[in-house]
Amino acid sequence: MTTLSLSVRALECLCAVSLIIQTLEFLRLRTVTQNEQVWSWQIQRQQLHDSPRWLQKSVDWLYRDRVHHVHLLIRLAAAATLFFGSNLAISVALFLSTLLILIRWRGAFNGGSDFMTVVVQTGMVIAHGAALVVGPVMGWRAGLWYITIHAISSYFISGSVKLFDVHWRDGRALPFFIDGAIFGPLKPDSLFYKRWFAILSSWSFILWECSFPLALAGPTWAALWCLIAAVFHFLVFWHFGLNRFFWAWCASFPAIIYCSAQW
Amino acid sequence: MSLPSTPSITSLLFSVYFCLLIAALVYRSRIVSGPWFFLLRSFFPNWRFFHRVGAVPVLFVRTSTAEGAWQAWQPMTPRAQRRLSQCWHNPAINLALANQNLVEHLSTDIQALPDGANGADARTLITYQCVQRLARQLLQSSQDTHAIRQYQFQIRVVPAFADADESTATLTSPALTW
Repeated sequence: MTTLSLSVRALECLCAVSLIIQTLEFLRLRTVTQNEQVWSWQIQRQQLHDSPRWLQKSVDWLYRDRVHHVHLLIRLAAAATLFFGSNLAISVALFLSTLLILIRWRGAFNGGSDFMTVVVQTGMVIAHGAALVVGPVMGWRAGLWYITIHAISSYFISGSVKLFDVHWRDGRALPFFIDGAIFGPLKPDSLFYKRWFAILSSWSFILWECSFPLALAGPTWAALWCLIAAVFHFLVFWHFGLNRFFWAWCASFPAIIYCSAQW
Repeated sequence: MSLPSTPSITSLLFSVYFCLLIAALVYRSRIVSGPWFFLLRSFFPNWRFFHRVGAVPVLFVRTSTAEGAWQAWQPMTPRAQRRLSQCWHNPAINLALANQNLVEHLSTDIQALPDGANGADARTLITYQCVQRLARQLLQSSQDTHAIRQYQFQIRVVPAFADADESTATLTSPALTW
């Protein structure tokens, strides 16, 4: 898993899965972006009223229902080509496509998963862009390190902010968030209302997240931390419905495992 | 005296980086804002998920019939049934979560409105216009709309571990024609 070519292939395939899942969902949600609906561009374009006229006209055209539909279909095809490898043109096209979709959904559709999708796509653009100057090996190393630093920082920051909050430390935050989540409310006899279970679960995840930089100690450590991360993201999906988080972060794991063997 | 090896320099740099991250979490800096910064915020991730137990903005709606009697306010908290297949395809729940974010952004936008006689009208907010449509759409999907003549929505900012009573309301729309 620690060879560069295998890591790059794994990254491309997982990124393809993540982007295809996202794009198919956007295609399914086409009706809610139409003019009379909640996410109408006619309302949202007011956000750009101070922007240059040519820019407003350009995005108005890009977000026409038909044009946006074609854009999503092209994006779907481009994402599928990642199964066969990536290049600069596809990476830049997917990056720009993500940019357009995020603007369409007022900056973020699904919060954190959008952030990590952008990170992985930026890493791929860095890899192919740098390859033109320093060659593909150094280029991919730069791209994978970019993804790794962001991914590790995401866990470290997410754990640290919980450590600073008294409700996370005393176990009251976990049932609070799960109770208010999409699959809530919790049943009165839920295990999460047991103080010992809530404290144990909270501290387990806080300590694991804060210790994520240790994944760089070596590929075995990295694989173990990533395995726990996969379970963690599945639980986040199971309790909060955040399926995109699972796939977006999985796409970063090959980079973490590769970089852990590089020093 | 020999120079430190490359791995130890790298370890040192990583240690400094993660210390700086903690420092950045403790010491808050100025918040940068602007329409384009808002639209491109995914390029500046903050990675703070579920970090604070606090007040939650909740959308409430109510309707009136031809007789003019208003029904009780109903919370529109997004709820769904869990299925394993949602791990691969989950548009409805992701949309519900995006709609809830819209409600939270409206709540933030209301707080940012200037007070007093020069205060801006909340109805000019983009988030207000979107949430007005959301309220109508949620009513359409949750009840028989034949008898509805008017509807109204309200944003309540419900403190953690507290009830969502009407004293927590931060915005109530005028009565809107159905």
